[in-house]
Amino acid sequence: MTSLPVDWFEGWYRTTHPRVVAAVSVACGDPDMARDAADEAFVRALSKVERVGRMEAPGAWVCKVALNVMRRRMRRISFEQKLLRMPGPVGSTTEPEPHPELWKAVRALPERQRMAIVLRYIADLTEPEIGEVMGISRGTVAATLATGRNHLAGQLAGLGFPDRYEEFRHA
Amino acid sequence: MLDIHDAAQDLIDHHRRRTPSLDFLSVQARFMRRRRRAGGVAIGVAVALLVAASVYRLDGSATSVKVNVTGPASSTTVASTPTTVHYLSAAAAKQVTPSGWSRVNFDDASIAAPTDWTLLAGENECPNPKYAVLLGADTQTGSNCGAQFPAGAPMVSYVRLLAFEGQPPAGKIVEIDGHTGTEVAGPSGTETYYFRDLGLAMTVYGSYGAEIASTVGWSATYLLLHPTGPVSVPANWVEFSYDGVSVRVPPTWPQKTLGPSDPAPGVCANATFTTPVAERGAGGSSSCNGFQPYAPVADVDGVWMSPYVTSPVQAFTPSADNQLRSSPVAVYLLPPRNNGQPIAQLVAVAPDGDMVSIDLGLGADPVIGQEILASIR
Repeated sequence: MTSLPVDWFEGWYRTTHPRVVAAVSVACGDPDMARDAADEAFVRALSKVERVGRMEAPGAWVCKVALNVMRRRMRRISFEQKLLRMPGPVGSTTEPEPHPELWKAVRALPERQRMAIVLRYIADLTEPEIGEVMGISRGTVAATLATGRNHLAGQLAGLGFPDRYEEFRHA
Repeated sequence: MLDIHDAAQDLIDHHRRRTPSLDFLSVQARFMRRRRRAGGVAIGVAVALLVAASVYRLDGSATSVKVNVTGPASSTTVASTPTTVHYLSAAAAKQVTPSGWSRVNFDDASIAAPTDWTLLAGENECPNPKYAVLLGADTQTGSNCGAQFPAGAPMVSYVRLLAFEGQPPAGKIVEIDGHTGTEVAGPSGTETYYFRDLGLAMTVYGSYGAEIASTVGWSATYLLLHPTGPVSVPANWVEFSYDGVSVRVPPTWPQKTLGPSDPAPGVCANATFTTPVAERGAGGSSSCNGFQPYAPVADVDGVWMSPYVTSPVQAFTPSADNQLRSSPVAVYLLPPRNNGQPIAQLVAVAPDGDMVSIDLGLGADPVIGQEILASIR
């Protein structure tokens, strides 16, 4: 890429930002925190746009940053709530996300499976990119995804959605 | 049968509707760079503050320095040079307002907020808005909001502006558009920024908190009173008078005398000015139905001259502290109404003692207001 990647950034931002918000939202269960985390990640991307624009997988990088921001904030809120013995912020009052039963089931998965599912199907990362974000090998990613899909289909079947989500086993 | 890819796409489309504009991102990126820079040179900032303290008093009084803006001489349109002026630098006078947002004024400070946010000022009843700017401490006394705030209140994002003076608590040094402040993390994900020069404590919460925090700057009234250079009244401006007091306004502005059937500008939480205009007279009475929330309004220039009526909300006693000019007519600045609008409320006292209220609408270019102020006779 030889031209200034600012033009590139706008298109990439428009496509990728909602994807990252959706992924982080499913990962943490708080759409407002997800927006904050995604915003911060994209701000960092914009502040180093030349470097990010030349990355092989900028989507994976921005996902990784957003998830790190999310984890940091969750730790801080948890610490503050313990320290101050105060209730946390109430849940988002924005329009409910579509398919809540599905995302609730995803959130109930063990963390590694949850992250793999989120990064594959919402963030639309490839298996090598997921491996890079999660710090695991490509083979482990594939295995984790398969296990996660099976668990997810099983959970949804238990919730009364056996047909609707059966296809997840094979996605 | 729903495919997981379709479900994911539905979720992405759901969030796509609230993707911030690139403007937001740019403002925040600038904010972040400055925070890093400021954090890295905290000692340097402290030294700079000490040096600055020797030039300006940083106990809050610097914000109340008055500029002696004098009126035009009778034979010329150029104002005489003020004798004691602290000119604001052009950079300091520049405000950052993302497109689609408007500035919200509070005392000497202002922020920018999306125009669909609700402004809660004074003791308004609160309609439990999802997004709000809370102006002053009284906003906590509403029947349905604030007292339990933020826990239990169904707000997604808010910014609370409070007057502040004194020493901020220990925290991270930040710099936003030349304003050095202290950032302190609060409970439940809130952050409070303390700005001594602006006399402002700003608490932010939720998705838009950081974006809004990055737009902090001087209020429209502060910029009115702190020109960046000598003020002169353009020669082609025309006179507009009411009850012994006159101002000069651009010739393109419509001039209107309000009758009993005309609502007074700004009633029922409406914007005082929606287009540049010169108006005079008290206007008719209006009845507002129920709670009328304020909203961020566009910065629009305008003049409304009317009989001065004592207001218990804005207790005002003419004194040297609030006097902007002493001749050819005395002009005083009323305490800010703090409803967010870019309005400077002045009182001019004619030689015969009549008091005229002048609501000065302040547009994006503070020079126009400065020129009108300089033209009061």
